[in-house]
Amino acid sequence: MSFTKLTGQETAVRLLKDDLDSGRIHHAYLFTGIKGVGKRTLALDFARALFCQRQDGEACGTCLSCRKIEHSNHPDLSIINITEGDSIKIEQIRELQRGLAFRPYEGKWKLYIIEDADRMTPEAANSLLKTLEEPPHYGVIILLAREAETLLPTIVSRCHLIQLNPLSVENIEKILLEAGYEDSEKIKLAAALAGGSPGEAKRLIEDEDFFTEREKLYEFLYNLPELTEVDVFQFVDELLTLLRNKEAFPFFNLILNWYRDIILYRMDSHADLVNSDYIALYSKISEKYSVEELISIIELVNNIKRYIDSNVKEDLALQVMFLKIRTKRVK
Amino acid sequence: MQENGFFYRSLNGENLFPGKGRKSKMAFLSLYRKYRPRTFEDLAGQQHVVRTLQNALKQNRIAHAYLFAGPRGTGKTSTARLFAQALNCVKGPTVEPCGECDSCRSIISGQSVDVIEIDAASNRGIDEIRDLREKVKFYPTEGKYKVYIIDEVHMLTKGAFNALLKTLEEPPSNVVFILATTEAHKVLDTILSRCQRFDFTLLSSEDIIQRLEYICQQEKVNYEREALSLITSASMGGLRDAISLLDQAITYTDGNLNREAVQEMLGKVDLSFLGSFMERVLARDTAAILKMTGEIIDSGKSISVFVQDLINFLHQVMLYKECGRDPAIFNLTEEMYSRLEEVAGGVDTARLIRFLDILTDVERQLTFSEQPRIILELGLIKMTARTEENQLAELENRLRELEEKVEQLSRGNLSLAAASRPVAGGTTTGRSSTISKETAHIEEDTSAYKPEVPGDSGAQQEAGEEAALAYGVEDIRDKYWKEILKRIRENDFKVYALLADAVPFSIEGNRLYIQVLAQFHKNNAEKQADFIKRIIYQVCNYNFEPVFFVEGEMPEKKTGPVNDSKAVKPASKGNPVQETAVDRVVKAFNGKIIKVDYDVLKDKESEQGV
Repeated sequence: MSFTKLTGQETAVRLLKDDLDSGRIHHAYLFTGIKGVGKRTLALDFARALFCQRQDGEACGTCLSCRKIEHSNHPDLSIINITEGDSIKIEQIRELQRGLAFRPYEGKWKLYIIEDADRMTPEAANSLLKTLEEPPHYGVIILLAREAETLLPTIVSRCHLIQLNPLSVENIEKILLEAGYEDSEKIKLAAALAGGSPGEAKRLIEDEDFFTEREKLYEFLYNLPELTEVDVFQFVDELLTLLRNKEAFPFFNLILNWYRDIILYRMDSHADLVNSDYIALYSKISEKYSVEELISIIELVNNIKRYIDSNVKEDLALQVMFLKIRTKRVK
Repeated sequence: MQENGFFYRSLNGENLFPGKGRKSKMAFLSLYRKYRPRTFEDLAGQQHVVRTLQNALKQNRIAHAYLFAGPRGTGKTSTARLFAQALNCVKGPTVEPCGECDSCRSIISGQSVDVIEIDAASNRGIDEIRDLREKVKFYPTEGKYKVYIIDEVHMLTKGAFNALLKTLEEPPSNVVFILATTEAHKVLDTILSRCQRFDFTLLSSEDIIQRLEYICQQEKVNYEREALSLITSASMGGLRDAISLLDQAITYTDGNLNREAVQEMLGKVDLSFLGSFMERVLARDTAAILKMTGEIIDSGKSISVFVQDLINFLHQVMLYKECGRDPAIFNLTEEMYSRLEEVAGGVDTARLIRFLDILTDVERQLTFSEQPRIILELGLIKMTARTEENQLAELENRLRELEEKVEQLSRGNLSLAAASRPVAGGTTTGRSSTISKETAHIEEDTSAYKPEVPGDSGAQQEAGEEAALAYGVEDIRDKYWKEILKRIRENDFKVYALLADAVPFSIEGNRLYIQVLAQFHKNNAEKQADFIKRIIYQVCNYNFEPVFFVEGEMPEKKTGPVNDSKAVKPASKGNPVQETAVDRVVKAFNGKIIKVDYDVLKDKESEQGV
């Protein structure tokens, strides 16, 4: 069992394989890429190949080490992720440092994978600096993060960077088909909506409610200019439950895509539309908005999203947002 | 306190545990660790620091506390270790530590008992500092100095900082503290004042390239100088970043550093692509731009790198436009010059600055957006869409207004409404004659820009009140009312609320009849009549007298002389016939008019009419 075939990430896989083959194992790696693009898969593949008892740069999948990783009970592999709240705390990094002080139990390496490294608290990130720069010779640390810019520059400069790219729509479609999903409109749509992340695309297909909720949302946006205040309030109430489950329903992204598509439609870039199934509706409403209005609507949505992320009351923010869009008094 | 941390054992790249390394070869070390400077000469840049420290060593003026501050990858920790070596070398204190004696070797491998490196970010509490204070008083075991290197010192807690103060001020002899940090502003003033401070600066590209070349030669890697300069500019002046990137590039290109491959690794966009992209932007070909953007993204390039590339490119275009082909600024090939020239020819500096504004804003937003693509597209659309023309048009409008005011000033016939701002009235009339000569030609120029606005040419002033006839009430309602409301809103929201549902109804001479929603609105609007009048004047450039009425109760037109431009309130200076009668009553009783009941007046008039 070699590296998982990660379509679209051939470069990243090649770089890591080269490192394994030539024995140039760096002490700190930083894998960057959007959610669902394969960072964790790649990190685990790397771990398998690193620990595998056959030591030929690939994982055999049958030896004890490989099987232990499969069952996630390899003593020399630790995965650090967010366990409480929404950040990685300094205590977790201290634990890493304590653990790293001991030599590996089985193999030659001791590997730590830090997921969501961009969500480390400033204290945690700073306390990692010295360890990250000069761990013991057997220590390897892999950080997984969305983008290098979201980390401290002092962290980034200590790491060997491996970038995982967002995938093109075609590649995602290909992955979905290979994964055994049936070729259908739904697949195409999910690939377009996933924003370059095959993991996200799969999730969308699996999610039964997603497409009906999306339809509801877009129907609302389409009718918004004609709706009354009461309609808006009612819809916001319905939305709140969806919004609380942000991971499952990328609410703001859908709204952003809607208005982005209208702009693109007006610019005659029909091929790049995300919601290609709504093209008929776009033709009807695109004339109702000027490009400037659309730009300021998108900016408004972005801002409201930031407000809600920083704990502004959700229903209020949403009501204001929709009412503003409705009357086009966006500025 | 975790002293002499476990993590420095393999610092010098030696395999301290033979047989344990992968394939039993020498353990692999990342280049930036392998090529940590071993002598002061090795240290890239920072001459000002090195010279001062070496002089201190020479003259044996060793301070007890140093603070090394500066951005990442500029050599703070390396210098601290070198300084420790220099102090404790067998030949020491010496300007050039030998690197071979036991003391130097143990410091390099991080095993020296007398050089204690503390990770202040992990050991940041007061307890750790107390522990340190306990141990400070012991005499150095092997060397002459006990050196405490406290790295990332900005992360110490406030309590810990304060606990350190006394020790830092007067440590036992033979103890040297070296504090290192990237964020000196977080360090307490009381700490700062006890240390000799050295500021490390970002390295020049020349320094970085030299070091990279040296490493490439040592590692026996083929390289193109251009590839190294790409890496250098991506490293933003941090040597560790540069060496990390070099490390990546060596793997990526399999030990053959050429420009194309490094460019690909960095996710940089080709210059020719940037050139044709900007061409499309300048041609406002939005569809093509969006298509090209899609291609960039689909080819797996990072959006933020692309934005940075665009910014850099435009920056160079701007410099080229302003300074021409100046070798002191540019270090470019012929091909690049011709690209810059092409783009620079088709754009003015103001627009370039606007582009840069938009793109830097995009760059900022990218860091906290999950939809980088939309942010980028939006920015590009802003650059190409005709919106900026609108802004220009708006500017033109305002300019025109200004010109008109100047023109009026020069004629000295600034109306009462405008004169309600004291500055405009009193002080300028005296100078008006001189201005008029200068502004005479402006009038001619501006008339070309304003074909649609009635009443704004010189004709209005000459024709006096009659010019009002140039306005139909439809003009007011359709063209100006919106603007009037907008301005009122900007000035006074309460007044706006009164007029939000109002409709200009008709014009009689200089009176503008405005129908409002209810009696309340009417009463309050009348109180603000002067203000409203002023706004109307600003927009229509004509001294209308606003008259408010509630629907179905339009005051009879005869109630006031319509051509009396100074009639401000019909209630006080109404119909001349009644005025005399009422005046007489007022005089006789020495009273004042509180209220005029128009209904009664109307009834009277209709009776008379019969």
